[in-house]
Amino acid sequence: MIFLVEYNRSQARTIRMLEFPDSSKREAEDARLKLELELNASGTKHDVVLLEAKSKEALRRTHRRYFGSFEPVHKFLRDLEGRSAGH
Amino acid sequence: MVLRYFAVCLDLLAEEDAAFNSPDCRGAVQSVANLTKTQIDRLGERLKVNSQSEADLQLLEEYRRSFGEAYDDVVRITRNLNLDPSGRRAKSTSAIVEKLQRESIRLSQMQDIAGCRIVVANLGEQDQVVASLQKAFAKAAITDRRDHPSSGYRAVHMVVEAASRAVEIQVRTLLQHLWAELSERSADLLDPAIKYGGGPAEWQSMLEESSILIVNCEKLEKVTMEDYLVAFDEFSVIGAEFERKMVVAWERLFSVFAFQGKEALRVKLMQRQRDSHEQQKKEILDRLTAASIAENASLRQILTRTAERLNEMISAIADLERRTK
Repeated sequence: MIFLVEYNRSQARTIRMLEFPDSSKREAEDARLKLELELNASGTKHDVVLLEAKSKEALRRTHRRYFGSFEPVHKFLRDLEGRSAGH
Repeated sequence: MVLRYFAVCLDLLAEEDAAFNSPDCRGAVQSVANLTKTQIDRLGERLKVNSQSEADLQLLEEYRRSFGEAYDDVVRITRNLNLDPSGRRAKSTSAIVEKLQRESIRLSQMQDIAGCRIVVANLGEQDQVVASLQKAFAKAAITDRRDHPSSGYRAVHMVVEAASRAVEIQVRTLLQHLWAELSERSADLLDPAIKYGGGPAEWQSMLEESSILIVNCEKLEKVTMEDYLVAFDEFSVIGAEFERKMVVAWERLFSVFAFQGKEALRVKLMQRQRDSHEQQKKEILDRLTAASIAENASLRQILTRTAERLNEMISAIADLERRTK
């Protein structure tokens, strides 16, 4: 799978993520350039990244920057502390 | 335990489902031309001073596309080794520009235009993966940042050659990867300089300390396993008492680590013959039991501190994220 990501670094936020099958590498590259040119023309300073992985799940493991926050981990740790304190 | 614990953390992160819009931004770009080295470097010089004209972005895209075949070759060969790489066919414009501005490097010299990443369980597996990649690629330059980290960042980076192009392969352990994720997230939320040793001093100190804790934690795991393997191989015959005590020491040690090789080595241990030179057995037993007790205490101390430090960082990052929203 190929993933085209528009990422706002200053807000640590993914604006959009487009998916392409492996057979559409050319289309994905075209889309990256088109998006980059659009953002450049509008003066928007966002990262445009083209990523590849076997699946979205695999990509989340290796490039989680583009997949949201650490809040679930924080919550997991808080819950764990709570359970430990209860024992 | 600590690896399992952080694996759970990464799983939790992976389960999070992000819904993204998919506006149609598909367009068309015409053929990829061959660029000369001079053209590439001049393009780099223009990009370096933040001049991103449409023509330059088109030119950069042409250059990036010339890495496509090399990237595909590297991914295919890597997958043939039963590895699961994820990556980018080509570095983003912003990352290229920042690297040109940060380092005294020409665009044509940049060796990580295309690159992929492999995350493995531990140092032992990392060594194995690097060795098998070295065999798979005739030309491979290795930068081992495990003992000489770059601003706390630890990993093994390889630059291999495929289709006459350089492609970078990053090999990280689970803990090295978690640290890198925390560092990157901090840089995005707080200050981009954090990734390169800058930014708020207290944050740098937290990252540096956790980086050292992680490497100690991982090294202890590796040393422990290697010590046992050496002991097993050095003495061909192990007595029943030694075996029993070793299993106890073993269990105590691995109650801390969920180590993959535990069962395999335990079986190996159980298969040893039981008659041997009693004095030799006693010496080995005394030495290893004492060592395992000391190591176990040291392990617990390091693991606890590592977990505490990483928890603090995750908590601080979650706090930053809430404030950024």
